[in-house]
Amino acid sequence: MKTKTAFVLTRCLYFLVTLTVTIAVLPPSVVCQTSRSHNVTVTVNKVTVIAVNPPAINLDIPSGPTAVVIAGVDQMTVTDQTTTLLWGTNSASTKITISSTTLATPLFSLQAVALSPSTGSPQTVTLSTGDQDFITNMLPSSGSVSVRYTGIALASAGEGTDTYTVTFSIIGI
Amino acid sequence: MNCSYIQKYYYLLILGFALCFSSQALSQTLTITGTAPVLIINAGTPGGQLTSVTNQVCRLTYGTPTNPRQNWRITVNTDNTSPLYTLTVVALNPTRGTAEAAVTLNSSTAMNFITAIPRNRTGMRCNLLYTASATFDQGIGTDLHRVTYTLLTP
Repeated sequence: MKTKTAFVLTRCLYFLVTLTVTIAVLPPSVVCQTSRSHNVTVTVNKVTVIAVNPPAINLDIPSGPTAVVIAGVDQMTVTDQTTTLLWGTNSASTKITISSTTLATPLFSLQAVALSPSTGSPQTVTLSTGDQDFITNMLPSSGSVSVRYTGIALASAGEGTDTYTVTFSIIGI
Repeated sequence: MNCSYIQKYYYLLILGFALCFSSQALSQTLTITGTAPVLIINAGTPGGQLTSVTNQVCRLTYGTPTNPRQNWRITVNTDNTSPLYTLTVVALNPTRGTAEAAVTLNSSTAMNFITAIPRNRTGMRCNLLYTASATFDQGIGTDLHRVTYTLLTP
């Protein structure tokens, strides 16, 4: 009986020692791995932004560098294209509109047009109250465009100054 | 069986259990804590791009066993292989191991996230810094990712 018990205990010891040694010297090639997952959500909301620089421009007839004054011709013009309009929209079917403050008795007229925008169709606009389409059919995009203003005056209208506050808006259709 | 016979092997028995414990008890562990990240882009720059957003509310905690006797690494992958927008993740300040460069999550292929993680360590951790970015022309929408981290031997 004693011999049998000793034999079993010896076998158990051999087993434990063997197991321990095996675990302790596991070859490097053994691959163990554990994985965990979680959800990550990315949402992009509607974003439409617009800016215009510089904050003010002057169109001067006849002393402006681009003024066109011809003897014997009543209509005089002056242009300026130092204005840059910048936008960003991630919406489909967007347009930029232009509007200005109401002048009680405007002496002259003022036109604006976007010069070759990278997206959309530019419209030549004579400024007046209320929103008018300036660039239509815009795709989701970001960009900038030069704006050319043209001041038109008649010599017969005399001297004076018109001051406009021009507002550009980007809106969904 | 006499007492001296048991005592002869008693120390071997204790040694065996000790070795077993040191080898087995420290199995690899990996946990993610924190609310599932939601990154919302809702601003941009005229003439520029949408403003990127970040999220680092989640923490990855990891532990490695004694064996195998080599460094470990953590990989990351996503189930969204054609996302609309760019999502990257980088390990922020791992207490052990080397953070790899930010991984762009657009592939189910596991990419290295943290490498050279020493064996036989517990309680190692890092923050998960997610960054989402998009361009205006990518439009409006939502990407859902099931991001998986895997702790494994090289």
